[in-house]
Amino acid sequence: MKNGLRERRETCGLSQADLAAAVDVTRQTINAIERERYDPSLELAFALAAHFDCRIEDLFDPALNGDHPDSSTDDQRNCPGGGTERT
Amino acid sequence: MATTRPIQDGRKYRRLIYGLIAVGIVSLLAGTAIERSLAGLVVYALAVLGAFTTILLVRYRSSAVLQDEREHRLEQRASHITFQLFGYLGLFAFIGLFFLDATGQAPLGATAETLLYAYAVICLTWGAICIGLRYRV
Repeated sequence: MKNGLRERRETCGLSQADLAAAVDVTRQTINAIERERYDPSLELAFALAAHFDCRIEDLFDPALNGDHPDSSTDDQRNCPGGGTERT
Repeated sequence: MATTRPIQDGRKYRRLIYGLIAVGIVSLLAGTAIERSLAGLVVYALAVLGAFTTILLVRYRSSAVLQDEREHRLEQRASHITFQLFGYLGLFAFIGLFFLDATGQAPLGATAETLLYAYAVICLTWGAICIGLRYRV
């Protein structure tokens, strides 16, 4: 599934290992999601969305040929610990 | 940022489990190679028992998690593919064996009969579990 996880993670300055530890999966799982080789469970999708303080559909796009979800954050909003309010 | 979490805790246990299994297999092979099969078998049994005990202890006595959802799903897929592979191969193999037996070209031997029964038991068990799951899920 198309997703903007990598962009979100990099915007927040997190490594794959950091994000994996935060949502309690292996680094390989985060890598597989970013490479769109693994679709996370609903539980993990919720955990990722909660971590970035956004909605699931902001991270994942179920459309087969859709563009990546909007991850063009030009600041640190929605980053854990350093974000401002969502708009 | 990174904190110690159950999946990270589970890594050391996974290494221990894989290490024990590796020691067991090496011991079994080495025992056979130097004609100490019984000693090799004993070490293998102890190692596998240790690995199995570790799995149970981690599962029921620890907050650590041995695998995450992706690894769990990969195992499920591997099991599914393996079952399908042997399922279809067995189906055609036994049809062939029955055909050879029926035409008198190669009688069904005791080994083939035992394998056939084992195959039937596995298929029936699979069917029973499927029915059980339909009622539960």
